[in-house]
Amino acid sequence: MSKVTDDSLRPHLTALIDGELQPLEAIALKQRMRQSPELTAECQELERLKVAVHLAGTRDPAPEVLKRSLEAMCHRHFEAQQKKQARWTTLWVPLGLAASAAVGLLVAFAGADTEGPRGTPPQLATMVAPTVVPPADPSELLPRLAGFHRESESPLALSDLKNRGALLAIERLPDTFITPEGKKPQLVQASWMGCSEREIGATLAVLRADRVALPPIIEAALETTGVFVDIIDGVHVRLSVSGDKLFVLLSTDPGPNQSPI
Amino acid sequence: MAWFGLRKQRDAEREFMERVFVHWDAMHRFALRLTASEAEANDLVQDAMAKALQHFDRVRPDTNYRAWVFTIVRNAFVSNVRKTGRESLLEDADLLAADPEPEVGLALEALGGNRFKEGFEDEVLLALQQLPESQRTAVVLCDIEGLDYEGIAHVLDCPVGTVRSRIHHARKRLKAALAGYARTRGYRDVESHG
Repeated sequence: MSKVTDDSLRPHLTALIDGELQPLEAIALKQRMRQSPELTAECQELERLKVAVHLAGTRDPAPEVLKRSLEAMCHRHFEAQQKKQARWTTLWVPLGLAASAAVGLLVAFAGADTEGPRGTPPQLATMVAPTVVPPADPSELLPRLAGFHRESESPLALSDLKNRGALLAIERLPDTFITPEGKKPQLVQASWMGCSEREIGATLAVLRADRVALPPIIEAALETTGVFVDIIDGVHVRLSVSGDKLFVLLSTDPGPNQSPI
Repeated sequence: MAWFGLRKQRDAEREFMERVFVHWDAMHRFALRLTASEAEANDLVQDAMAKALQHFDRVRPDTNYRAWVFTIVRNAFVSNVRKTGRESLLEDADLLAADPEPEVGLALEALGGNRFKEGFEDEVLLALQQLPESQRTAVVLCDIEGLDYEGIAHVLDCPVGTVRSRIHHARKRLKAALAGYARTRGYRDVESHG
């Protein structure tokens, strides 16, 4: 390095050949170099040195065996991660789903024991499969209800219908609850509290329409007119459907010359 | 779910190979300049690649991956050196202060001759090896690997101004070392002959 070269410029020369000077700095230094052959020579020398270091450093290629070894290591790493992920998926996801289902069932059953905030009937979660109840024998349903009306059968005889959820209610009604207007018995009052046994003249049964089976002729009549009337064992039977409810009104047959209550 | 996980892993592998693994040869070159031993360099690269694999999913997408892998290699090297009690291989503050006055006018244009070139390259590598570690790292990353000063500052964990200074001092030392080599081979000294 020439003694005339300002020492403070040397680091700038280094930065210049590395392209790390700001544009204005580079212009100023190049102007200075044009006036100083020593500075120009030193800059060229640094450039040659840079090239020499680069050529020396990149002369020997990296060993291929190392590349293969590194590739294998990377592949093993990602394969292991993949297996870990698969283990997590196959073990924890089903467990998580099972736990969620269990919690869901618990919540559903817990909710079934208590009524809702406004006295709404308890609802089972939709996850719970509906109970399959075999429908009552169509050939015996109405004769049994008629027997109950005639008091020839104990109320306990209908317990199987209640247990199946087919029979929702069955009550004996006083005569005053029924009016034979238009020759069709109709329910005229909603309550019969305080009525005595002696006043009983009719029986009303409320059944779940989807849990009872009726003879085809009755099914057809209900479908077309919504009402079916018949006399079974001397009992006048009137069936009507509303929504999923089947109403059966039973009264003593008034005889061929009398209109049914 | 399993399918999703598999695809994610494959994407991660592809991304790693494209962004990190492509620098494997540069990592080896750098490791070789740090350790000056082929066997140690190979071990160092393996170690660094394992660390890169381990931390890859935590790297920000806008990261300079080339600078990142060099940082890992250097950190692994420093860690190994300290573990094996060879701290003398690392930074030597005295060396930074005591730059030799370079012999002026080294005839580097003599690189044109192949026989000289091969011997000269060995000499350059030897001269590089004599540099303090921080200067060597700076000049290797700049001249051999083409990193800018900012990338080098990231690797060395120092300001850009320090990088500039280290490269300047490193080249000064290299010139001094290589001038002696050229002179002993009978190549002209620019100042003394020109």
